[in-house]
Amino acid sequence: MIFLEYAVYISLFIIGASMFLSVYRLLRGPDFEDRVVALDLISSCTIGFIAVYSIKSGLKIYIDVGIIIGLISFIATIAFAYFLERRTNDG
Amino acid sequence: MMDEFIAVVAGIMILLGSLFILISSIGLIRMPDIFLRMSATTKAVTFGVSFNLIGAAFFFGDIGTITKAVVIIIFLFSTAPVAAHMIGRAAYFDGVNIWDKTIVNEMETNYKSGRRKKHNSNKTEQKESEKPTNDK
Repeated sequence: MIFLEYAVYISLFIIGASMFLSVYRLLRGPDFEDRVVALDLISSCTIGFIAVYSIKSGLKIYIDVGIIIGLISFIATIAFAYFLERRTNDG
Repeated sequence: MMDEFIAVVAGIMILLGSLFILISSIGLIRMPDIFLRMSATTKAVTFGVSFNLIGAAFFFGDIGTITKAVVIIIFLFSTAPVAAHMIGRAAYFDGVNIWDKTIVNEMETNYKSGRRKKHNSNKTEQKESEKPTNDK
């Protein structure tokens, strides 16, 4: 069980670090689409973070949050893509 | 004995998944082009999050958690390619810069409408893209 505790702490650190790395692309990204991709990556990282945190806290109810975040991020990405494809040339 | 085995398997799964997530986020920063960035993020993150959820399902081990984890995995595997396809299509028609070492561009021969001109709302980024970068 001690191995599992260390694994949980290490993986929480790694996932948090990768979320910070993708925030760099979210702030810097040369085009609007890069920011959308970075947002999608951050929300996917959040699902993994919640899955690891549910092991740390021992509450299995946290897994439900992952379903909702997956749904919302998919719909947001589709809406952004639709908006980017349909926007006018002078907008 | 059985608890130890389950804990070790769950820990290995979690570490593998978080390593995949780290690799994809490094790819998001280091890749030279939005299409290559999407090819890095979409595949590796789906794989890593699936490993994390499988680890959580191993740790709890009851039927409700396993079902929820499988539902999330199926949902991710079915929606991530659709979202990436939509974003890539929008990025192509929106006139995002393509990497100059790209060899195959099938959209150019199949779509006569062509790409939109690069927006002039972000002139500073255009100057940045004209500078020689170290991505090559």
